[in-house]
Amino acid sequence: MSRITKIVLFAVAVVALATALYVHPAWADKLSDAIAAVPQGAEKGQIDPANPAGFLGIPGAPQVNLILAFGWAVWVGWIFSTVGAFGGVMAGVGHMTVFGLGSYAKSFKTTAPTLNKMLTDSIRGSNQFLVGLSALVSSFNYYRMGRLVLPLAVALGLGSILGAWGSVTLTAGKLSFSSYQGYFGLFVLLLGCYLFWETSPKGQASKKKAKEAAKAFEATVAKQKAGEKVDTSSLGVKVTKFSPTRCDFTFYGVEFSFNPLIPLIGGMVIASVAAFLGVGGGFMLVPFLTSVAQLPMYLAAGTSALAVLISMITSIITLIAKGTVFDWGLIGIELIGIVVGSVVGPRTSKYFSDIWLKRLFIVLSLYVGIRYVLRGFFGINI
Amino acid sequence: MDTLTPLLLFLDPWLIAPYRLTESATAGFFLGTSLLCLYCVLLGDAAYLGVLALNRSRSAKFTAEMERHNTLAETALKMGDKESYKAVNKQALDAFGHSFSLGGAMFTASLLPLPFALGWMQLRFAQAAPALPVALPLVGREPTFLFYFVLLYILVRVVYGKAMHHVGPYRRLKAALHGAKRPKDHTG
Repeated sequence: MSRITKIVLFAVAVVALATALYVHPAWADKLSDAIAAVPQGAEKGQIDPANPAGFLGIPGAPQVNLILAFGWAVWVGWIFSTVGAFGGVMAGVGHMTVFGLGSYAKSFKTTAPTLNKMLTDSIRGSNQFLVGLSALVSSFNYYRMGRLVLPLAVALGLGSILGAWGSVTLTAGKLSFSSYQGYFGLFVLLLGCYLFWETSPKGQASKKKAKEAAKAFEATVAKQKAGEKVDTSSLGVKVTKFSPTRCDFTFYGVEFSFNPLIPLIGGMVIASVAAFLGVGGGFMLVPFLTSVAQLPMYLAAGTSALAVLISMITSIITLIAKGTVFDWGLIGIELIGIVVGSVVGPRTSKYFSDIWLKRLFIVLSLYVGIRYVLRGFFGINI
Repeated sequence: MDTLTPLLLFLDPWLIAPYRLTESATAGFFLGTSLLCLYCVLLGDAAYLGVLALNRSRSAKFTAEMERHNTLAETALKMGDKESYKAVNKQALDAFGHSFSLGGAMFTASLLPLPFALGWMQLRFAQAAPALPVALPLVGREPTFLFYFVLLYILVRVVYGKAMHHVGPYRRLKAALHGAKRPKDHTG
């Protein structure tokens, strides 16, 4: 990678950090102030200081059952290593339902709305930690391999910064748990519907067609391989033209082009949704990039990993600066669970096919999605 | 947190000792926190290598799928066969999705010690991190311990990575665990 490219990449990282540092979100009350403002007593929505400390050290808060937390995290790690996506969504579900944190946050809706919102932010921040740094792996690999399309990465990165910062700034300290739960439920429902289509005969047919076409091409290439010379003169990424509305580049001598405004806006939307919900946008970005510019996998993967990384760093920095408190014990147990799940998952994949795993996920996501939407937006418990 | 407090208190004498080695409290804080970061990096790396060893064949399989289809996609591009390119690229993207997620879950292993270190620092330094000589826009003059830990952790991890790259046996072990060949490095 050329020196200029390295300098520009470094500048993008500095801009990301500077944006987080120099733009002031409104300062939210610290947790202790929020707790002090809660009416004291033993009823719902009150805090009895004599109670033992639970979640975030709040007296009387649910003491998260660590065995349950561990078990759920193993499931998340299993999803990551087998299905290949949506692990972050499951982590969010765990924080809200399985650990009882959602109900606890909700109980303060009328008596202590500030605490209700701080707990929401803590749940979102905890989600981010679990999925946050995985983009680093790919980002550095693709940066080293020279497979980053710089203008695309910059447009996507800038859009992601704006989206993540805007989303967190506008909502941190202001989002009641019910609203968050409703939106999260909507997202999970959409995921379930998408997966349902993917495992349907029509979805499977289109996948099968692509797989067969790929196999046929591979067979053709194998026959032609003997004696073929490789032209190395135009390998790698070369940007040939750049303007605010058009970027042309070549990869292996083939021309690609895109309008930089599309990844900028797309990055903003995807990053703001990801930061708002607290789950990574990686699985939304790659399909977006391939449809924008028909990018080869390595280019799409490298640039989207960078954008996810920037988005994650920005929203975590913003949440930390606002005084959000993390439950380190819970995060620690969950990280162990994810690692165990990621080791167990591959060993069970010979007993469970991809399709059945996805169907299990669909059932869970439809149940969770419908339940959250009804509870979050309409206050209906099922 | 309550269940972990006994563990953290058990480790406390060893963890706090470096903080008391110097006369200056601030110097002691930086020395102690840097060492804490080093413990995290070492333990995290050991955990990551362990998980990588256990998932070696699956990780190598996804990487090989990804690289095979990516090479085919590049061949399709060279031949100007757009339909085959789209089909093969889709397979490569599928393999990437699996590889990326598995890689992320395994990478989590390298972060395992962090929450425990931060939990301990929360017990010790929640209100006692050093003040800065000048106020920074986002964190003010009195940042939390998290600010210092994150910066020192990144520094220690980068230095550790560069140093270990020169250690032959470690480099060979890591290469062996990563398994599949990496694609050629094309600079643009």
